[in-house]
Amino acid sequence: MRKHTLLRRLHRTLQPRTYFEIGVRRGESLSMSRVPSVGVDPFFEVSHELMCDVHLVRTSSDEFFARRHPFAHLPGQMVDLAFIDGMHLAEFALRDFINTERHCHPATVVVIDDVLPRSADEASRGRIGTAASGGAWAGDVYKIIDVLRRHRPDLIVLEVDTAPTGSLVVLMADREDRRLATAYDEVVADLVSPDPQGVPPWVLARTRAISPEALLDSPLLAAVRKARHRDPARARSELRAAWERSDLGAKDLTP
Amino acid sequence: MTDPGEPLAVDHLSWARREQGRISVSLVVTGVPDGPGPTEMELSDGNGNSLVAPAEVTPYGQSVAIRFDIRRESLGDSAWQVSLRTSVGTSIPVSARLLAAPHLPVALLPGPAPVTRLRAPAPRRRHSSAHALARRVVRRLPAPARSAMRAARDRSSRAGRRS
Repeated sequence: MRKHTLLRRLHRTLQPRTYFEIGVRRGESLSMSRVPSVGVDPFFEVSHELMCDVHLVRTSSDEFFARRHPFAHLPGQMVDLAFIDGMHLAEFALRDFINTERHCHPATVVVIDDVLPRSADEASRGRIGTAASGGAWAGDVYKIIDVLRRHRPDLIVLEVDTAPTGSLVVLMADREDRRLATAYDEVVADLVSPDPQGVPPWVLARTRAISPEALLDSPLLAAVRKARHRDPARARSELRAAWERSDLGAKDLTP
Repeated sequence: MTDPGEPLAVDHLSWARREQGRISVSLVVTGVPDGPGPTEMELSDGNGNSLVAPAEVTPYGQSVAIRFDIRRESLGDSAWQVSLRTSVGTSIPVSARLLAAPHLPVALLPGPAPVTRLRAPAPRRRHSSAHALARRVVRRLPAPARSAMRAARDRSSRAGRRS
Protein backbone atom coordinates (compact mmCIF):
# COMPACT_ATOMS: atom_id res chain seq x y z
CA MET A 1 0.00 0.00 0.00
CA ARG A 2 1.37 3.38 -0.95
CA LYS A 3 1.59 6.13 1.63
CA HIS A 4 -1.10 8.23 0.00
CA THR A 5 -3.48 5.30 0.03
CA LEU A 6 -2.87 4.91 3.76
CA LEU A 7 -3.54 8.60 4.26
CA ARG A 8 -6.73 8.46 2.22
CA ARG A 9 -7.95 5.47 4.23
CA LEU A 10 -7.07 7.23 7.48
CA HIS A 11 -9.15 10.23 6.44
CA ARG A 12 -12.04 7.90 5.70
CA THR A 13 -11.73 5.81 8.86
CA LEU A 14 -10.90 8.54 11.35
CA GLN A 15 -13.19 11.25 9.95
CA PRO A 16 -10.93 13.95 11.41
CA ARG A 17 -12.45 17.31 12.20
CA THR A 18 -9.24 19.15 11.25
CA TYR A 19 -6.18 18.30 9.20
CA PHE A 20 -2.63 19.61 9.11
CA GLU A 21 0.24 18.81 6.82
CA ILE A 22 3.84 19.87 6.41
CA GLY A 23 5.16 19.46 2.88
CA VAL A 24 2.30 20.33 0.54
CA ARG A 25 4.30 20.22 -2.71
CA ARG A 26 1.74 19.69 -5.51
CA GLY A 27 -1.16 19.12 -3.14
CA GLU A 28 -1.74 15.40 -3.62
CA SER A 29 -2.12 14.61 0.08
CA LEU A 30 -3.91 17.85 0.88
CA SER A 31 -6.47 17.08 -1.82
CA MET A 32 -7.75 14.20 0.35
CA SER A 33 -8.99 16.47 3.10
CA ARG A 34 -12.62 17.59 3.32
CA VAL A 35 -12.29 19.43 6.61
CA PRO A 36 -10.68 22.70 7.75
CA SER A 37 -7.01 22.25 6.98
CA VAL A 38 -3.66 23.95 7.22
CA GLY A 39 -0.84 23.14 4.79
CA VAL A 40 2.70 24.47 5.22
CA ASP A 41 5.39 24.50 2.53
CA PRO A 42 7.72 27.36 1.55
CA PHE A 43 7.72 26.12 -2.06
CA PHE A 44 4.28 24.67 -2.70
CA GLU A 45 3.19 24.39 -6.35
CA VAL A 46 -0.31 23.06 -6.05
CA SER A 47 -1.57 21.32 -9.17
CA HIS A 48 -4.16 19.05 -7.53
CA GLU A 49 -7.64 20.34 -6.98
CA LEU A 50 -8.31 21.05 -3.32
CA MET A 51 -11.75 20.53 -1.82
CA CYS A 52 -11.44 21.77 1.70
CA ASP A 53 -11.43 24.96 3.70
CA VAL A 54 -7.66 25.46 3.66
CA HIS A 55 -5.02 27.88 4.89
CA LEU A 56 -1.95 27.43 2.68
CA VAL A 57 1.15 28.86 4.32
CA ARG A 58 4.19 29.68 2.22
CA THR A 59 6.89 29.55 4.86
CA SER A 60 9.09 27.06 6.64
CA SER A 61 7.39 24.89 9.24
CA ASP A 62 9.60 26.29 12.00
CA GLU A 63 8.58 29.84 11.15
CA PHE A 64 4.95 28.77 10.95
CA PHE A 65 5.03 27.37 14.47
CA ALA A 66 6.70 30.55 15.76
CA ARG A 67 3.55 32.53 14.88
CA ARG A 68 1.37 33.64 17.74
CA HIS A 69 -1.64 31.61 16.54
CA PRO A 70 -0.33 29.16 13.97
CA PHE A 71 -3.59 27.20 13.85
CA ALA A 72 -5.90 30.20 13.87
CA HIS A 73 -7.66 28.72 10.84
CA LEU A 74 -8.73 25.53 12.60
CA PRO A 75 -11.79 25.37 14.84
CA GLY A 76 -10.49 24.98 18.36
CA GLN A 77 -6.97 25.43 16.99
CA MET A 78 -6.37 21.71 17.48
CA VAL A 79 -5.27 19.05 15.03
CA ASP A 80 -7.05 15.70 14.64
CA LEU A 81 -4.91 14.29 11.85
CA ALA A 82 -1.40 15.46 10.91
CA PHE A 83 0.87 14.41 8.06
CA ILE A 84 4.53 15.39 8.43
CA ASP A 85 6.34 15.16 5.10
CA GLY A 86 8.69 18.15 5.14
CA MET A 87 12.49 18.29 5.09
CA HIS A 88 13.88 14.75 4.99
CA LEU A 89 16.44 15.38 7.71
CA ALA A 90 16.10 13.93 11.19
CA GLU A 91 16.42 17.20 13.12
CA PHE A 92 13.77 18.88 10.94
CA ALA A 93 11.34 15.96 11.28
CA LEU A 94 11.88 15.85 15.03
CA ARG A 95 11.21 19.57 15.36
CA ASP A 96 8.11 19.20 13.20
CA PHE A 97 6.77 16.52 15.54
CA ILE A 98 7.69 18.47 18.71
CA ASN A 99 6.03 21.61 17.39
CA THR A 100 2.95 19.82 16.03
CA GLU A 101 2.41 18.00 19.33
CA ARG A 102 1.81 21.34 21.09
CA HIS A 103 -1.43 21.57 19.10
CA CYS A 104 -2.61 18.00 19.52
CA HIS A 105 -4.79 16.06 21.92
CA PRO A 106 -4.32 12.42 22.98
CA ALA A 107 -6.52 11.17 20.13
CA THR A 108 -4.63 13.07 17.44
CA VAL A 109 -3.06 10.81 14.84
CA VAL A 110 0.31 12.02 13.58
CA VAL A 111 1.71 10.36 10.46
CA ILE A 112 5.37 10.95 9.66
CA ASP A 113 6.56 9.97 6.21
CA ASP A 114 9.82 8.46 4.93
CA VAL A 115 10.90 6.65 8.10
CA LEU A 116 11.87 3.31 6.50
CA PRO A 117 14.52 3.81 3.80
CA ARG A 118 15.26 0.75 1.70
CA SER A 119 18.99 1.38 1.37
CA ALA A 120 21.81 3.46 2.81
CA ASP A 121 21.65 5.64 -0.31
CA GLU A 122 17.99 6.43 0.30
CA ALA A 123 18.85 7.24 3.93
CA SER A 124 21.60 9.72 3.04
CA ARG A 125 21.38 13.26 4.31
CA GLY A 126 22.57 14.46 0.90
CA ARG A 127 20.69 13.35 -2.18
CA ILE A 128 22.89 10.74 -3.82
CA GLY A 129 22.40 7.78 -6.13
CA THR A 130 18.92 7.57 -7.60
CA ALA A 131 17.66 10.23 -5.20
CA ALA A 132 19.94 12.75 -6.93
CA SER A 133 17.95 12.22 -10.15
CA GLY A 134 14.50 12.43 -8.66
CA GLY A 135 14.17 8.93 -7.24
CA ALA A 136 12.84 8.15 -3.76
CA TRP A 137 14.73 9.90 -0.96
CA ALA A 138 13.92 9.28 2.66
CA GLY A 139 16.87 11.04 4.25
CA ASP A 140 17.68 10.09 7.82
CA VAL A 141 14.19 10.68 9.26
CA TYR A 142 14.31 7.07 10.54
CA LYS A 143 16.51 8.31 13.43
CA ILE A 144 13.56 9.91 15.17
CA ILE A 145 11.93 6.54 15.81
CA ASP A 146 14.41 5.69 18.56
CA VAL A 147 14.37 9.29 19.84
CA LEU A 148 10.59 9.12 20.31
CA ARG A 149 10.71 5.69 21.97
CA ARG A 150 13.61 6.57 24.25
CA HIS A 151 12.44 9.97 25.45
CA ARG A 152 8.68 9.42 25.24
CA PRO A 153 7.80 5.83 26.13
CA ASP A 154 4.24 7.07 26.73
CA LEU A 155 3.69 7.56 23.02
CA ILE A 156 2.32 4.78 20.80
CA VAL A 157 4.80 4.66 17.92
CA LEU A 158 3.92 2.37 15.00
CA GLU A 159 6.13 1.75 11.99
CA VAL A 160 3.92 1.03 8.99
CA ASP A 161 5.11 -0.83 5.92
CA THR A 162 4.02 1.58 3.20
CA ALA A 163 5.57 2.14 -0.21
CA PRO A 164 7.96 3.47 -1.02
CA THR A 165 9.75 4.53 2.17
CA GLY A 166 7.52 3.69 5.11
CA SER A 167 5.38 5.72 7.48
CA LEU A 168 5.30 6.27 11.24
CA VAL A 169 1.97 6.61 13.04
CA VAL A 170 2.15 8.24 16.46
CA LEU A 171 -0.66 8.38 19.01
CA MET A 172 -1.11 9.68 22.54
CA ALA A 173 0.27 13.15 21.91
CA ASP A 174 0.57 15.36 24.98
CA ARG A 175 0.64 19.08 24.30
CA GLU A 176 2.00 19.79 27.80
CA ASP A 177 4.93 17.39 27.63
CA ARG A 178 8.30 19.13 27.11
CA ARG A 179 10.64 16.14 27.32
CA LEU A 180 11.25 16.01 23.59
CA ALA A 181 11.92 19.74 23.36
CA THR A 182 14.52 19.36 26.13
CA ALA A 183 15.99 16.24 24.56
CA TYR A 184 16.31 18.01 21.20
CA ASP A 185 19.30 20.03 22.40
CA GLU A 186 20.97 16.86 23.67
CA VAL A 187 20.47 14.80 20.53
CA VAL A 188 20.69 17.24 17.62
CA ALA A 189 24.46 17.12 17.24
CA ASP A 190 24.29 13.29 17.16
CA LEU A 191 21.48 13.30 14.60
CA VAL A 192 23.58 15.40 12.23
CA SER A 193 26.20 12.89 11.08
CA PRO A 194 28.04 12.64 7.75
CA ASP A 195 27.02 10.14 5.08
CA PRO A 196 26.89 7.22 4.78
CA GLN A 197 24.36 6.76 7.57
CA GLY A 198 24.57 3.58 9.67
CA VAL A 199 20.98 2.51 9.10
CA PRO A 200 19.95 -0.18 11.61
CA PRO A 201 19.06 -3.56 10.08
CA TRP A 202 15.55 -3.43 11.62
CA VAL A 203 14.89 -0.28 9.60
CA LEU A 204 16.11 -1.65 6.27
CA ALA A 205 14.36 -5.00 6.74
CA ARG A 206 11.25 -3.38 8.26
CA THR A 207 11.18 -6.17 10.84
CA ARG A 208 9.13 -4.07 13.28
CA ALA A 209 6.75 -2.61 10.75
CA ILE A 210 3.09 -3.54 10.71
CA SER A 211 1.07 -3.77 7.56
CA PRO A 212 -1.12 -0.77 6.77
CA GLU A 213 -4.08 -3.12 6.45
CA ALA A 214 -3.56 -4.33 10.02
CA LEU A 215 -3.58 -0.76 11.28
CA LEU A 216 -6.62 0.26 9.29
CA ASP A 217 -8.59 -2.83 10.38
CA SER A 218 -7.59 -2.49 14.02
CA PRO A 219 -10.17 -1.48 16.66
CA LEU A 220 -7.51 1.02 17.80
CA LEU A 221 -8.68 3.55 15.21
CA ALA A 222 -12.28 3.27 16.39
CA ALA A 223 -11.00 3.91 19.90
CA VAL A 224 -9.24 7.01 18.57
CA ARG A 225 -12.51 8.42 17.25
CA LYS A 226 -14.28 7.84 20.55
CA ALA A 227 -11.39 9.24 22.57
CA ARG A 228 -11.73 12.64 20.85
CA HIS A 229 -14.74 13.35 22.99
CA ARG A 230 -13.13 12.37 26.27
CA ASP A 231 -11.06 14.44 28.64
CA PRO A 232 -7.32 13.90 28.11
CA ALA A 233 -6.81 11.53 31.04
CA ARG A 234 -9.70 9.26 30.07
CA ALA A 235 -8.73 9.44 26.40
CA ARG A 236 -5.21 8.29 27.24
CA SER A 237 -6.52 5.47 29.42
CA GLU A 238 -8.89 4.21 26.73
CA LEU A 239 -6.31 4.42 23.98
CA ARG A 240 -3.71 2.65 26.09
CA ALA A 241 -6.18 -0.14 26.82
CA ALA A 242 -7.13 -0.46 23.14
CA TRP A 243 -3.46 -0.55 22.21
CA GLU A 244 -2.66 -3.23 24.78
CA ARG A 245 -5.50 -5.38 23.48
CA SER A 246 -4.46 -4.98 19.87
CA ASP A 247 -2.05 -7.21 18.00
CA LEU A 248 -0.24 -4.32 16.31
CA GLY A 249 3.34 -5.39 16.85
CA ALA A 250 5.55 -5.58 19.96
CA LYS A 251 4.50 -3.40 22.87
CA ASP A 252 7.89 -2.49 24.31
CA LEU A 253 10.48 -1.34 21.82
CA THR A 254 12.19 1.22 24.06
CA PRO A 255 15.84 1.30 22.90
CA MET B 1 36.23 29.97 -4.24
CA THR B 2 32.72 31.34 -3.95
CA ASP B 3 31.79 34.45 -5.92
CA PRO B 4 31.99 37.31 -3.38
CA GLY B 5 28.37 38.26 -4.09
CA GLU B 6 27.00 34.73 -3.77
CA PRO B 7 25.82 33.48 -0.40
CA LEU B 8 27.89 30.73 1.14
CA ALA B 9 26.01 27.46 0.89
CA VAL B 10 25.46 25.67 4.19
CA ASP B 11 26.15 21.95 4.29
CA HIS B 12 23.58 19.56 5.73
CA LEU B 13 26.01 18.87 8.58
CA SER B 14 25.19 22.22 10.19
CA TRP B 15 23.14 22.48 13.38
CA ALA B 16 22.02 24.81 16.15
CA ARG B 17 20.93 24.14 19.74
CA ARG B 18 20.43 25.71 23.12
CA GLU B 19 23.36 25.48 25.54
CA GLN B 20 22.89 26.97 29.00
CA GLY B 21 20.92 30.03 28.00
CA ARG B 22 22.82 30.64 24.78
CA ILE B 23 22.26 29.50 21.22
CA SER B 24 25.20 27.55 19.89
CA VAL B 25 25.59 27.23 16.11
CA SER B 26 27.86 25.13 13.94
CA LEU B 27 27.84 25.96 10.21
CA VAL B 28 29.70 23.80 7.72
CA VAL B 29 30.39 25.86 4.61
CA THR B 30 32.74 25.98 1.65
CA GLY B 31 34.37 28.98 0.04
CA VAL B 32 35.29 31.01 3.11
CA PRO B 33 37.91 33.42 1.69
CA ASP B 34 40.10 33.80 4.78
CA GLY B 35 40.21 30.14 5.74
CA PRO B 36 40.56 28.99 9.40
CA GLY B 37 40.88 31.42 12.30
CA PRO B 38 38.81 33.87 14.39
CA THR B 39 36.17 35.92 12.68
CA GLU B 40 32.73 37.40 13.36
CA MET B 41 29.19 36.49 12.47
CA GLU B 42 26.56 39.13 11.81
CA LEU B 43 22.87 38.42 12.22
CA SER B 44 20.22 40.68 10.67
CA ASP B 45 16.49 40.49 11.30
CA GLY B 46 15.43 42.36 8.15
CA ASN B 47 14.07 45.28 10.20
CA GLY B 48 17.34 47.15 10.53
CA ASN B 49 18.48 45.31 13.66
CA SER B 50 21.77 43.45 13.69
CA LEU B 51 23.84 41.45 16.14
CA VAL B 52 27.51 40.51 16.00
CA ALA B 53 29.08 37.47 17.62
CA PRO B 54 32.69 36.29 17.60
CA ALA B 55 33.17 33.04 15.69
CA GLU B 56 35.85 30.44 15.18
CA VAL B 57 36.54 28.89 11.78
CA THR B 58 38.16 25.47 11.79
CA PRO B 59 38.90 22.99 9.00
CA TYR B 60 36.22 20.36 8.34
CA GLY B 61 37.25 18.06 5.51
CA GLN B 62 37.03 19.98 2.27
CA SER B 63 35.01 22.66 4.06
CA VAL B 64 35.23 24.72 7.23
CA ALA B 65 33.12 24.69 10.37
CA ILE B 66 32.11 28.05 11.78
CA ARG B 67 31.17 27.93 15.47
CA PHE B 68 29.56 30.80 17.31
CA ASP B 69 27.07 31.34 20.08
CA ILE B 70 24.75 34.15 21.05
CA ARG B 71 22.35 34.97 23.87
CA ARG B 72 18.88 33.57 23.18
CA GLU B 73 17.15 36.72 24.46
CA SER B 74 18.89 38.75 21.77
CA LEU B 75 17.07 36.82 19.04
CA GLY B 76 13.44 37.31 20.02
CA ASP B 77 11.01 35.21 18.01
CA SER B 78 11.95 36.08 14.44
CA ALA B 79 14.40 34.51 12.00
CA TRP B 80 17.79 36.20 11.59
CA GLN B 81 19.80 36.16 8.39
CA VAL B 82 23.38 35.03 8.97
CA SER B 83 26.45 36.67 7.40
CA LEU B 84 30.15 36.16 7.80
CA ARG B 85 32.36 39.16 8.50
CA THR B 86 35.85 38.57 7.15
CA SER B 87 39.03 39.87 8.79
CA VAL B 88 39.06 42.77 6.30
CA GLY B 89 35.51 43.74 7.19
CA THR B 90 33.75 42.28 4.13
CA SER B 91 30.30 40.88 4.86
CA ILE B 92 29.53 37.64 3.06
CA PRO B 93 25.96 36.38 3.30
CA VAL B 94 25.45 32.80 4.39
CA SER B 95 22.51 30.90 2.96
CA ALA B 96 21.00 30.23 6.37
CA ARG B 97 18.70 31.83 8.92
CA LEU B 98 18.55 31.26 12.66
CA LEU B 99 15.25 31.03 14.51
CA ALA B 100 15.21 30.68 18.29
CA ALA B 101 11.61 31.40 19.28
CA PRO B 102 10.80 30.92 22.97
CA HIS B 103 9.52 27.44 23.90
CA LEU B 104 10.39 26.01 20.47
CA PRO B 105 13.46 24.03 19.42
CA VAL B 106 16.17 26.14 17.82
CA ALA B 107 15.99 25.99 14.04
CA LEU B 108 18.80 26.58 11.55
CA LEU B 109 16.92 27.23 8.31
CA PRO B 110 18.81 26.70 5.04
CA GLY B 111 18.24 28.96 2.08
CA PRO B 112 16.65 32.37 1.76
CA ALA B 113 13.43 33.51 3.41
CA PRO B 114 10.30 32.48 1.50
CA VAL B 115 9.38 35.10 -1.09
CA THR B 116 5.82 35.79 -0.08
CA ARG B 117 4.22 36.14 3.28
CA LEU B 118 0.78 37.46 4.01
CA ARG B 119 -0.58 38.57 7.35
CA ALA B 120 -1.37 35.56 9.53
CA PRO B 121 -5.12 35.06 10.09
CA ALA B 122 -6.75 35.77 13.41
CA PRO B 123 -8.26 32.86 15.33
CA ARG B 124 -11.74 31.88 14.19
CA ARG B 125 -14.66 33.27 16.09
CA ARG B 126 -16.44 30.76 18.21
CA HIS B 127 -19.64 29.44 16.64
CA SER B 128 -23.01 30.56 17.98
CA SER B 129 -24.71 28.29 20.50
CA ALA B 130 -27.32 27.37 17.86
CA HIS B 131 -24.61 26.24 15.49
CA ALA B 132 -22.89 24.26 18.24
CA LEU B 133 -26.21 22.58 19.13
CA ALA B 134 -26.83 21.68 15.49
CA ARG B 135 -23.35 20.13 15.26
CA ARG B 136 -23.94 18.06 18.41
CA VAL B 137 -27.26 16.78 17.02
CA VAL B 138 -25.73 15.83 13.69
CA ARG B 139 -22.87 14.08 15.42
CA ARG B 140 -25.34 11.75 17.12
CA LEU B 141 -27.02 10.67 13.90
CA PRO B 142 -26.18 7.27 12.40
CA ALA B 143 -23.24 7.23 10.00
CA PRO B 144 -25.37 6.73 6.83
CA ALA B 145 -27.50 9.75 7.73
CA ARG B 146 -24.38 11.88 8.36
CA SER B 147 -22.90 10.76 5.03
CA ALA B 148 -26.11 11.68 3.20
CA MET B 149 -26.18 15.10 4.85
CA ARG B 150 -22.52 15.66 4.01
CA ALA B 151 -23.14 14.71 0.36
CA ALA B 152 -26.14 17.06 0.19
CA ARG B 153 -24.07 19.86 1.71
CA ASP B 154 -21.27 19.28 -0.83
CA ARG B 155 -23.76 19.25 -3.74
CA SER B 156 -25.30 22.46 -2.48
CA SER B 157 -21.89 24.03 -2.10
CA ARG B 158 -20.86 23.07 -5.65
CA ALA B 159 -24.19 24.34 -7.04
CA GLY B 160 -23.60 27.60 -5.22
CA ARG B 161 -20.14 27.96 -6.73
CA ARG B 162 -21.46 27.29 -10.28
CA SER B 163 -24.27 29.86 -10.05
